[in-house]
Amino acid sequence: MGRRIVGTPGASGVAIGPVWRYSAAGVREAGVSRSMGSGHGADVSGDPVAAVKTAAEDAARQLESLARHIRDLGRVEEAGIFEAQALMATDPELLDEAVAQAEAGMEPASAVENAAAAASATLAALPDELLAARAADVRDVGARIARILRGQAVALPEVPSIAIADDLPPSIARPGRRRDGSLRRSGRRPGGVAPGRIRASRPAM
Amino acid sequence: MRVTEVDVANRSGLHARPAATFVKMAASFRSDIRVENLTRGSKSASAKSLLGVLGCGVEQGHRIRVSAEGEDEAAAIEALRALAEGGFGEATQA
Repeated sequence: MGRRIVGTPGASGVAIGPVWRYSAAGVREAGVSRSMGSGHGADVSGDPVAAVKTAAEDAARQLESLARHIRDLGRVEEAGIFEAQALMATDPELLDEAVAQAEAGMEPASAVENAAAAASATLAALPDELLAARAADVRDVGARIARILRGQAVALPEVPSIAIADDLPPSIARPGRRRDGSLRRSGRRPGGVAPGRIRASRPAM
Repeated sequence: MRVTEVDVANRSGLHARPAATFVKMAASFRSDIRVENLTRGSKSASAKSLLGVLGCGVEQGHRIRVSAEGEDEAAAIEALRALAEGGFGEATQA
């Protein structure tokens, strides 16, 4: 007997496949699942400032690589979002705030998440919907840097799956991997996500 | 210091992609470059920070002021003014 899950689909239509659940909190609780990028952001000789900067540069490289991949698939508009996210990863405002908090004694990953949350709140308050929607991109970037600092990664599904999440971050929703469908329990759709099946050829995280 | 003011004509204003184009160009200069949204009355932000530029909330029809101070300020202002007047590479009709 199946189980019914109610939510907002990422696109209209019918999808059949295994369920893949994404939870940002679950990623944090799961700890190290595999290495990613240079993966040594947290190992910079106990220097939290260097760790933040190294992790931010790693995140930017990942996002630039993702942008190139998406651009090669001919999805130029989507690629532009990832290029913007790559810039966000090393944005001086984000890093200055994160570094200040890390220098004050906060754990580096939490410092980045706090800085990203503050920047996200600023954007979310803008009256223009297009600009306000970028708030999710900033949170996504902050989460990516924090995962690098913690040595964590999102365990991606091995087969085409139906993604279920309270909130599906842009770089997980759009990385060009194969996905049969998505369902958001929050009822929000990430802006700019193309509906339908998405073929994957590389992991994003 | 050099200053220029431009009316933003492209449809999406300084949304992510045009803002990224603007920030990349600003970052190619050594001068300290600031941008502010005169229409909204935003605080000035570093033109080399995408988050700062996005936070100015620049929409189509808004007037922005760009200022540059440094050894290449004239070239910076000229390049950024031309970029803005060209719609940051995007369509400019409504």
